[in-house]
Formats: sequence, structure tokens, C-alpha cells
Amino acid sequence: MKKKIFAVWMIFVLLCASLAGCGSKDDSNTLRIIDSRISEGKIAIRAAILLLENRTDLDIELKDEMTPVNSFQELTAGNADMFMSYDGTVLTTLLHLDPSDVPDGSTVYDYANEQVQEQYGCEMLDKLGLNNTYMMAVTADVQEQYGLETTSDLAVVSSEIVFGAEHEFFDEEGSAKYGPYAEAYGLNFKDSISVDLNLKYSAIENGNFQATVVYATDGLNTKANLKLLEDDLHFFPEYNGAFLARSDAFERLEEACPELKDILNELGGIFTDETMSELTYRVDVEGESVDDVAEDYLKEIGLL
Amino acid sequence: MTFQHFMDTYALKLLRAIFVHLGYVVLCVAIGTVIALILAVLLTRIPKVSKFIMPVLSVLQTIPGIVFIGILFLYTGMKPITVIIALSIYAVFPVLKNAYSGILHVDEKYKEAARGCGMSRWQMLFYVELPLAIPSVFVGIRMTAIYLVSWTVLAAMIGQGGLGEFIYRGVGTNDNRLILMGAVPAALMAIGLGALLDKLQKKLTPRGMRQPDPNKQISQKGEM
Amino acid sequence: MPWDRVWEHFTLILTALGFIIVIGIFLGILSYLYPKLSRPILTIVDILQTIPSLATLGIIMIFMGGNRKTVIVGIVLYSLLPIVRNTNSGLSNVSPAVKEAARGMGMSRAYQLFHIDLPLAFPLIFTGIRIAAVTSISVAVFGTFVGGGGLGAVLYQGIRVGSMSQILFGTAALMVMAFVIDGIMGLIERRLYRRIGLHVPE
Repeated sequence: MKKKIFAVWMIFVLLCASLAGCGSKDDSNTLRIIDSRISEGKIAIRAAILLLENRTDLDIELKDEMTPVNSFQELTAGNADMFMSYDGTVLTTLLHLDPSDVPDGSTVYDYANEQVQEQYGCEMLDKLGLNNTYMMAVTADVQEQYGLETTSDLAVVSSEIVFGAEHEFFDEEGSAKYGPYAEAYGLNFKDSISVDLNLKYSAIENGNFQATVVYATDGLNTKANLKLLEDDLHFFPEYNGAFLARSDAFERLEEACPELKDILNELGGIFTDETMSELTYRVDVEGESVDDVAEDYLKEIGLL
Repeated sequence: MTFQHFMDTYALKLLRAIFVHLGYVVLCVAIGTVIALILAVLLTRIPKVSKFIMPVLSVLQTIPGIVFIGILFLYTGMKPITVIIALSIYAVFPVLKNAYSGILHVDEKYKEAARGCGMSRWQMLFYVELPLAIPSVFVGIRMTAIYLVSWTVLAAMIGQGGLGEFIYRGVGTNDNRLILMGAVPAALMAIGLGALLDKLQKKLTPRGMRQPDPNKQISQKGEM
Repeated sequence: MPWDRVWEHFTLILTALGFIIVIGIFLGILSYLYPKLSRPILTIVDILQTIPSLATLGIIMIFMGGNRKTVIVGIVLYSLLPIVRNTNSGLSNVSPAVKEAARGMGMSRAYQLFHIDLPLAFPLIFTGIRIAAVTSISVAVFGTFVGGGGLGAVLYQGIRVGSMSQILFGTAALMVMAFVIDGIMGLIERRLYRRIGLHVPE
């Protein structure tokens, strides 16, 4: 019987060890990247991994995807080195600042980078070139019917349109949210529905609402035949995609790969909103793997 | 968050969400229970076939809410009816399982006695089998009610309100306060409903069957 | 098809189940040995189960970050009840005559617990484990919200892009997993009950 009790304890200890052991790889040669929840981030991350595998001997650990806030927590806690983010996200979601806090003459990117460096010892690498900001999108029918071009155009006829978006957009706190947005444009929708992020596109294709906010580079915009309306009041801050990394990660990996940052910065500016939405369309709609799409694209632009 | 800010921004919405949530739970438990009882009576008439039907039904129960509601709404729209249909269906199984075994396991001697008294099959069902199965049925209803408080969170998935709205928003923006605003009333609601149903069960159980301690339950297969 | 997600889901619940069994039985024994503790312990695990699982995961996530550990802790908290309750009832239901006899033979309390009470209570405990296993499968679906991967990730991605094949794959995988685990454990359960000459509770 003692053996049995011992066995039970062994199992318990092993379980604990298996949990704790998740992160114990050779630290001085491993770059730990957190995967992105969205295809665009996954593609950018795969591009980085392919480039690093091609140019360096670093081990790369790709951690499970999680929300931006969680990724940032993992990063600042030292459990990860890098993830794909956006200057607007860093400023508002991670640093809890507002675009109006950005001093004149500075940009969202520069100011957010400065602040995140100062407060958390993290830094953004070069902008990847895409600006995945929020944009108002309407169905093609609505766009045609009312001849809409800008969000202000939409405001005029908004009382005849139902709006729907993910729960997060209706948060009462924060600036780039529904309340302030509707106020800025004078939007007065017939109804506004708060839905699960994952159901947004099937709901709009199904006709449950006709207007929503989307990410500018989402391949599903094409699939659902959505028309993007210009943010003529520049309500939403820019969301320039860039890798956010712990600065000390480069020091830790200095020996293994002194040129790490330079290699990653070669990815700067390689995407545009158009190329990125084509790439995400291939992944999300046509079902290609993110690895293939990233590899194709790197070859296409001559980085591989 | 100051108290003032909470009152201004959330208090009314929260109150409304609690009522909507409770409404869904009560309505769907009621619908689910009625369907379950009818099915249980039918299935207990054909125990041989039911042996195979029950496991199939129990597997259907594992279809995640996101899939069920995510597909159902394409046909029924983003309306309360979608939530009601989905939740009622989820509510059926725990009650069905317990009612089924409750009715099936009514002691043969009571049925024999009933038959001896010259009861018809219907009389036997309503005066003997169902009353004797009440404790078991209530275990099912109690379980369903408690689980449904959790499942109703899914109403928010298609914009139909309830406490899920707070929870989803809180998880999406990493805001503990919002999650708690949704979770605490939900937990209290589940506990309250459980206590209420225990009271009701005591009242409805035939006098001869009342157990001294209904809290000494054992988790059995019916619990999911 | 994302078979790795199926494996991920499976290991997720397997790891969680390991913890649930150890912690659950421990709490069950504790509540049996110290009747004063029994009410608080049972009430707490009862309440844990009334909190919507998405909320439980969300709250743990804020303390532990979003990863597999969070999902595992969430599943453990959510599925403790059946094992704790059944351990407690199983031990309490061991016939007084047997306990009397054991004491008469001069067994110490610990010896009696491990050699008489627990083996006799084991079938009921196993029923609890079986329920916890099936519950964990569905709780783990929410894991994707907090970065835990698993089949939830397949389902949510499928729903997002409207891919019926992904949705069906994920759902079918879940159902098969539940069916197989429940079926196998059901068989074991039946044998356990038969061995101690009890009827399987329906």
C-alpha cells in the first residue's frame, strides 16, 4: 500500500514538474515568440521565423496565441521575448494612454515606443508597413444604396442602419470605442448589437446588421464583400504593425546572434494594407497555411 | 473605479442584465423540463430502445454552445428566440436522464399495488410513477438550473444581453471588474436557484419519501 | 485537418484530470476525517462550479496570464465537485460494521483509511472521476479565449471564417472524445461495482 501512496505522490510531483517545466529551455539560444491570434500577425511572425531560421542558428520557441494584454503580461514578466503588435495597441491598450496624449510633432509610433521603453523596457522594431486600423465597413448594398464614401456620409443615414461589432468595441472605458466614436460622428444607429468577435462576419453576411467596424487588412472583408468607409475625422489612431520585444532579449541573445535586431528589421516596410489583406484572404478564406503564405511572400519580395 | 462611476455607468445595465439572465434561465429550464418529462415518459415505455437512445442524446450534449448558437442564428436570427431554443435543448438532457431513471426505478411493488387497485396506465403514471420519481426529477432540474445559469452567458454571443455581456467584455479587455460584475451575480443566482429548488422539492416529495438529509447527494452519471 | 489541436485538447484534459483526482480525493478525505471541515469544503467546491467557466478562466487569466496553465487551473476548479463529493459520500457510506471490525482488529486510523475505507469507496470515487472527465472536455473548449489552444481554437476559427469543415471536424472530435472516454470509464466503473457486489448507479 505504501507503494501506491508513493506512486500517487510521484504522479503529483511529475504533474507539477510538467507544468513548471514548460518554459525551461536553453535561454541563451532561444528566442521565445508569442503567436498572434489573427492571421496577419501569424503571417508576420512566420516571416520572422523563416528569416531567422534561414540566417541564424537560434532556436525559436513559438508560444500559444493569446490576447494582446496577456501577451504583454507574459513579455513584461520575462516569459517571452517578442510578439506582433501595433503602435496604436501599445499606446491605448497596453499603456492606457490616449492618442491625444501624443505630443505635437511626435507620432503615435514614436511616442508609444518611447513610453513602452521607459516604463517597461520593451521596444517596437521597425514598422512592418501595414496600418491595420479600425475602419467602418458597410455591406455593398448599403454603400450603393446611399452612395457612401466616408463615415460622415454614413452618419447622415445611420438611423436606418443596424450596427454590430465585437463586445470589446462597446467597452465603456478607453477612447477608441463605440461611445466616443458615435459621438464624434453623430452616429445614431437604428440598433447596435454587441456580438462575439468570431461571429461578426457570418452575422453581417447573414444580414443581421449592415455596418460594423473591421480591421483594414482583414481578408474576410473581401469575402463578405464589405466596403470600407474613410475615417474622415481621423477618429481611430493608426495601428502600424510592428514587433514588440523585450530590449534585454537582444542582450541575452547577443552572443548567439548579435545581428538579431537587424535581421528582424529587414522585415520593416515589407507589407502594405493591400498585400496584407491579400495574404490574409489566402489564409482565412482559401485555407492555405500561414507558413506557406509567409514563405511565398518572402520569396516574392526576395528576402528568402 | 469609484462607486459613483460604477453607479453612473454600470448599475442600470447590470440590473437589466441580471433580469434578462434570470428570465432566460427560468424560461428555458421550464421549457426543457416539460420536454424532458414528456420524453422520459415516452422512453420509459420502451426501455429496450432507450438503452441506445440515451447515450446518443448524451453525446449531443457535448456540442459546444458556440457551435450550436453560431449555426442556429443563421436560421433564426440574432433574436432572443435563438437563445431560448438553444438553451432549452441544453436543459432537456440532465432532467431527462434523471427523470428516466427515476421513473424506471420506481419499485415494482408499488406498481403491482397500483395495478391491484385497478388503476389504468395513465392513472398509474400520474399517481404512482411520476410522484415517486419526483426526488430524482428534482435532482435533474436543480442540475439543469445551475448549469443553465452558466450557459446563458452564451446569450451575449449574439448580442442578446444577460450577464455574459459583462463577462465577454471583461475577458476581451482584461478587466477583472467587468468579469466579476458578471460572475458574482451569476454565482449567486445559481446558488439561490439551487436553494429554492431544494425547498420546492421538499414540498413536492410525497410525504413517505422525504429524506432526512437531502444534502447527502452523490454525484451520479446524470451529472454533466 | 488540425489533428495537433485534438492532441492538445486531450493532453489538456488529461493533465487537468491528474490534478483533479489528487486534489479532489485529498479534499474528499479531509472532509470525511474532519466533519467540521466537510461543510465549508463542499460548499466551496459547489460554489466554484456555479461560476460560469468563461468567467473563471477570465479571472485566473488576469493573475496567471493567458496560457495552458490557466486553462488547466480553470478546469481543475470547475470539475472538483463530483470527486470531492463522491469521495466524501463513499467513505461515509462504508458500512459501520466493517469499520467496527477494522477497529476491533486494532488497525490504526490511517491504516484503516487506506486499506479498508478507500478501497471500498473507490467505485463511487471513480464515478466522480468519470463525471469530471466528461465535464473537462467541454470546459476546455473555452480555453482558446485565454490562449490555451485546444479544439476551441479550431471551432472559433471555423466560425470566424465560416468554414463548415473546420466546425464539423472540431465538433466531431469533441463528441468522439467524450463518447470514448465516457464509454471506457463506464466499462471500468461497471467492473469496479461488480467487484464489490454493488449495482451500478444509473
